[in-house]
Amino acid sequence: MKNHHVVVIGAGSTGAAITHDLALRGIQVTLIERFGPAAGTTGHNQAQLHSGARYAVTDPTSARECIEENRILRKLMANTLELNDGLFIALQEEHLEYRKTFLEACAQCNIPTQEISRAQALQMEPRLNPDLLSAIRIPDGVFDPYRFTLSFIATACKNGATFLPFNEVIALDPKRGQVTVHQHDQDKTKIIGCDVIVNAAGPWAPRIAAQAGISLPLEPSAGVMVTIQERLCNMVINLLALPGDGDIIVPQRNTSILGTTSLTVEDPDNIPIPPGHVSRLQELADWMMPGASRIPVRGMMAATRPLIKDSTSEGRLASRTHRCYDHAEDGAAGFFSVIGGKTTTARHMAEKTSDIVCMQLGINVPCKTRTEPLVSHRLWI
Amino acid sequence: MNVAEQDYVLDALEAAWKQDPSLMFRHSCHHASCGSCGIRIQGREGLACITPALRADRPSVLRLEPLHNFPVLADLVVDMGSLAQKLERVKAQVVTRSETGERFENCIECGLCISACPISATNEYYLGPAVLAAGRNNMASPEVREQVGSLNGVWRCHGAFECTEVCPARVEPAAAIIHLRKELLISMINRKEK
Repeated sequence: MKNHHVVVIGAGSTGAAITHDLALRGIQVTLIERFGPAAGTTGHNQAQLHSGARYAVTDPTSARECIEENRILRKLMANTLELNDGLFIALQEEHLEYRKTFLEACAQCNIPTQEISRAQALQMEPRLNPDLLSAIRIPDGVFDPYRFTLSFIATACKNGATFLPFNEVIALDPKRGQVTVHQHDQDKTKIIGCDVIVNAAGPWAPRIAAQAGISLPLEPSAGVMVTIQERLCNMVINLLALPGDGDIIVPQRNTSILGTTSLTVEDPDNIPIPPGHVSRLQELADWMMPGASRIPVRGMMAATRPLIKDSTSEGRLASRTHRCYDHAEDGAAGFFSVIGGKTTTARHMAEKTSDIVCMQLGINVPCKTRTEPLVSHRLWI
Repeated sequence: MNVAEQDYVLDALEAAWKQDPSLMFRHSCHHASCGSCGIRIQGREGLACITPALRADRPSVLRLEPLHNFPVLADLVVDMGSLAQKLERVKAQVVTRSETGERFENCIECGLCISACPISATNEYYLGPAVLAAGRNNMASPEVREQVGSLNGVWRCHGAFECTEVCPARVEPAAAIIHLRKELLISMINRKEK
């Protein structure tokens, strides 16, 4: 049997999960990353293990993917997830009117919901706005994005994958099956030969594809988040309304992450943090949990959603599902790009992408990642 | 280079990186949750993402160095393997469960405490502050108890308190070590009395 070699570019949650998937199928795989793990979008996302409820009404495909992956990940990385569920809270009449649509959509997507009274909600989360009308409980969770990614990398390396951080792609030649990297840690250039190249560089995917003369329909949309120095809640708090700005609060250790907003960016390496976005997030958080805006800020970050450019929907309504592009159509057989998605569905994106890679290699090995538990994130070193 | 008033050291590093893409440093969450950006700033351990670049009591030329007590790979990147291995040896949890729910442990495994610890500087076998604090949860395990109570466990600490001083995550390792010593002493005395 021929020894195939796949190169994956980008060690965010997508690239890490693909590397893990391929390694489990017995394929030799090298993961290349210009920085360290999760240095891009994955690293500074809002750390929410989605139940999918947020997307049930506007993006049911993504919602179904989320709840399925939520269930799977609970078994794969049981010891690195904080699973206290989440609440969608109604603070005004309009939210109560939206409730019926929301509950029906969740039911359609197989997302379990539980209606909670005002009194019960305030008992679960005493810092909630006391004017709250009612709430709905859903199986949201919290992950640590860095450790989430490390868990996939550690397991992949245990199964024979190679991880090359601080190796930056400077040239791509899919026809010759070559990826040229500058190895920053050794200050030299190296050419890596392979049979398949998978571009999983998130918002930088177009830049990578461009090195092979190919353009990718990616529309990066950044979102600002603010972390404050106090843990306001144990459950993820969401506003019971159509997805909008500042409608989620996620607990993370001794802090709370308030998010998010939406701004178009040209260059994912240059995302401004408009002060207006920060104050708006604090204001909206105040509404859900009074006093949030008075808590000192620990840090601010902006993550770029790697959205698929689709003429049918924009901005907040753009689908959060993913797409895998086979560049054989662009004259570069053996070169694939995967864009879109969410960290919650990284394993699923990896399964679909790895299936396509295996087809390309003529290998018939099924995906094993649904049931294979991940090892300790610390073993990545 | 020019930095804005509200910029952090990490922002300055990224600006430097844009001029020289071979500059190596770690970063991920940008809000002091991942612990990957630990370095020394003007000789003091800190997380680059939440340390302001400009401060009235600091010169405008910042000296940035990698953490102490870990092998340097290049520039500001160190090999954190020894910390990872020691944490595994004391079975350090990432998430703990109690009646109030689940909770990520405070420790973000950034290594600042190890870098600041004068004992870790001279003894690579010393488990170190983060590891001992984590081990405190697992003293029911005989293997962990043995390691924590060994000569390279809590008894190696000299009470410098540098660890608690630099910890960005309110772990308070120095206090944990003191409590562990007390617990171990009491059980040693109880065994002698039997």
